[in-house]
Amino acid sequence: MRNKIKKRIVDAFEKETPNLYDKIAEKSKGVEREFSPISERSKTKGLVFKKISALLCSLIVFAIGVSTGLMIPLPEKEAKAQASLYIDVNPSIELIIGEENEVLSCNAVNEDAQKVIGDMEFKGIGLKTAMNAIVGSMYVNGYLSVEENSMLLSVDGLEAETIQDFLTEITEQVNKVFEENEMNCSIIAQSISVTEELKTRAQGEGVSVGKMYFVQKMISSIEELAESDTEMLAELSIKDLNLIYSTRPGRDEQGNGKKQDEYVSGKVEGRFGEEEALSLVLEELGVSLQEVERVSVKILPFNRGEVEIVCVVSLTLKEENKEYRYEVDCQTGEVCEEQGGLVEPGGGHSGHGGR
Amino acid sequence: MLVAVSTTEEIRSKNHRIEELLLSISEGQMQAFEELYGIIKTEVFSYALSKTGNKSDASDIMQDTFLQIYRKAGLYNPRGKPMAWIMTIELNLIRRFYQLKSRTGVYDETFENVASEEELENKVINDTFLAEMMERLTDEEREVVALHVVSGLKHREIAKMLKRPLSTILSKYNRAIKKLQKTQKEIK
Repeated sequence: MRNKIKKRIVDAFEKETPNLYDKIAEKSKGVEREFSPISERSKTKGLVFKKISALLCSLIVFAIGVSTGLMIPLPEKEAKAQASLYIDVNPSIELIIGEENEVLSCNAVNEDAQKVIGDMEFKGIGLKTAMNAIVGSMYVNGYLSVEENSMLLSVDGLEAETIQDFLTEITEQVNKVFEENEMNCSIIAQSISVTEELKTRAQGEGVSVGKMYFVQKMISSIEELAESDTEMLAELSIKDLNLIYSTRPGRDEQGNGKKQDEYVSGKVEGRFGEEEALSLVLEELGVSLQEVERVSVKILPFNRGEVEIVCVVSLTLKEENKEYRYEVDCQTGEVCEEQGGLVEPGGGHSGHGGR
Repeated sequence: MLVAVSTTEEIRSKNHRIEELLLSISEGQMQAFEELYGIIKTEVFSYALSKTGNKSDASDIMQDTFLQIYRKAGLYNPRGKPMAWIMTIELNLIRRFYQLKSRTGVYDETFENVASEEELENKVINDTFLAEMMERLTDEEREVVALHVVSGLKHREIAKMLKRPLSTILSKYNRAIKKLQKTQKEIK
């Protein structure tokens, strides 16, 4: 409904827009173009370019090191795989990690990952250096921005007793790469077990095994999701999956589950999450949290012709025996009364249907 | 065009292209300037129109905005948000337009003073829905709608650009969309 009206607005403006290019091009002939002096420009580039230059430097050092052999790979006979690490942003990359946290091999799982890896050779490189190069290349290729990133790290092959320590360590290492470059990133690190079935399903959906494992985990932990949602979820970005997962039941304050097989770090930026959605709904209703008897907030994907990530806020006010249900578009923050509007307590929630 | 109905991926790749074009424009490449014009002309015009309500003034502001982009492309720092940079340039020109208007009356033309039919045609909005939108929405509602729906700016970016709280921007936007949905039904 909203997309229809948006399209109508865009069409109307498009129709009225005059073509003035020739006039502008003519006038531009007399225009003197401005440039920042180099010193001034690097000052104004400020934080962002400091950040980017650090990443680019790591890429350059990385490339020089590899081409000149300065980064000497470990002899192959000593290299024993400790685990496989799957890195998902949208590009999906698989790193085989040795016992000394060195990279034994690097594989591109999808086309975007091939673009990120390019000609870089990772064999024998320390994990942190490799991550720096990967994050740098993802930034340069436009898969990461300064403010709004989400990453899924999936580790296969760990001993049960080392899982939590390894996930914490790997998350902190990756976090450090982002922090050193003054970038934000929400990270979910999970321990996975790669089976033939998982591989087949991942291949079927064209995603990494890490993402497929995460999708299955979401389906089993969020009651509104079903097996039939697999395809829709597999198509979502890691950021949107992280966002949906952030309101699953049973999470602790840090966003971690009860099991010791995952580690969550950072908040999903660039989307309207649980807290923001609730405050928008309270504002829409013109009430404060103190006036609310009961509240539930869930972030779910809806397929209404196209997939939308929506925060469903249900609340009952102390003064009224009515339940209000609102939907907040996580992308735009638009607040709408749920389709069907006001419902009585105990009324079924049918909004998630239609897929 | 950068519209809110585009997917995030489309917006990202468009922004990437705009940044490339700005770099080429800073090197004096007119082809890049023409391509940029084609990509963002509606965004630039719609914002000016939403602020002035007058096609002729909006066209003047549009021209000035593109000339400023041409002049300042060498100052742009790529941060993945070129539209926010462009719309801020335009906002400053709109403010200057109103300052001039109040000081000198230079732009104080009224429909009564318009001499020719051609000039009148240049000022009048032909699309009924758009004309109604200009009439029924407040200045700020029009501004937020143009910036979000047509220019593709996020509400957070609009709040930052206009130096207003995010909640204010959102409530104006939600109110505007409801009014427009009603308008759409009425003129059908």
